[in-house]
Amino acid sequence: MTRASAAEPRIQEGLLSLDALIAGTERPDCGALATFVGTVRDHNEGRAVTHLVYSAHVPVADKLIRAIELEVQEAHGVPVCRVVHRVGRLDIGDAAIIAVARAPHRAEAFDAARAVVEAVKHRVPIWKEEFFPDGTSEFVAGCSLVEEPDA
Amino acid sequence: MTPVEISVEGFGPARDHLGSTPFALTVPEDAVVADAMRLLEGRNDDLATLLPRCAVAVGDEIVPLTHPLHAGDLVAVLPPVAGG
Repeated sequence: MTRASAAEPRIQEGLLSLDALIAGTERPDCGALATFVGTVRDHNEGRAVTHLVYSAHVPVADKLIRAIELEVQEAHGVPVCRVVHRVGRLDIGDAAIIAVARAPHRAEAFDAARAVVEAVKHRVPIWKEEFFPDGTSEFVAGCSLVEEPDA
Repeated sequence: MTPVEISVEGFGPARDHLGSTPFALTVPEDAVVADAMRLLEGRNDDLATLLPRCAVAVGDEIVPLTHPLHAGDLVAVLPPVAGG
């Protein structure tokens, strides 16, 4: 099985592999592995969606995701937290983001997995453009990086 | 003072206003990020509305509006984000 090394880019154009991320983060001292996979939905706010195009400022996004992983590891006391996000055209059902957290016990692993996904959604320069059956598209309204996330 | 040339690139919805490739912008020698934003605001009303909610990165670093600009800087305009 392919293993995702720690140096692996956090922003990727190809299909994301949860198996590789799991294989690349194995730890004998952790009894809990929490995973999250965010997939493309066929609707948003009552409107049918045909596909999405994600884009990112790759250098900033990669750096910020790594910083968020470390921040969440520290805040939740977990030794492993890892996220990868896909960019480009994604079809319905494709994985857009995958996250893993490993910890000695499940509570911290669940909490860290959730926290890292929330932080990446709100604080990393990634944009989601939704395409509709009539051929039009719209960017999903997002969180401003110049305002404090909790403000 | 000699004006300096920087490059500006829009991301996400800012691409609709700034195009999808970097373009050159001339700013005064002692300009900071806020000065470049003021120049961009004049381009169109929709962009002027969006810019106050945009962060700015120079290279791979998000910088404050007071960040000094230098010749050759690649300035990225980062509108509100929606990953995941």
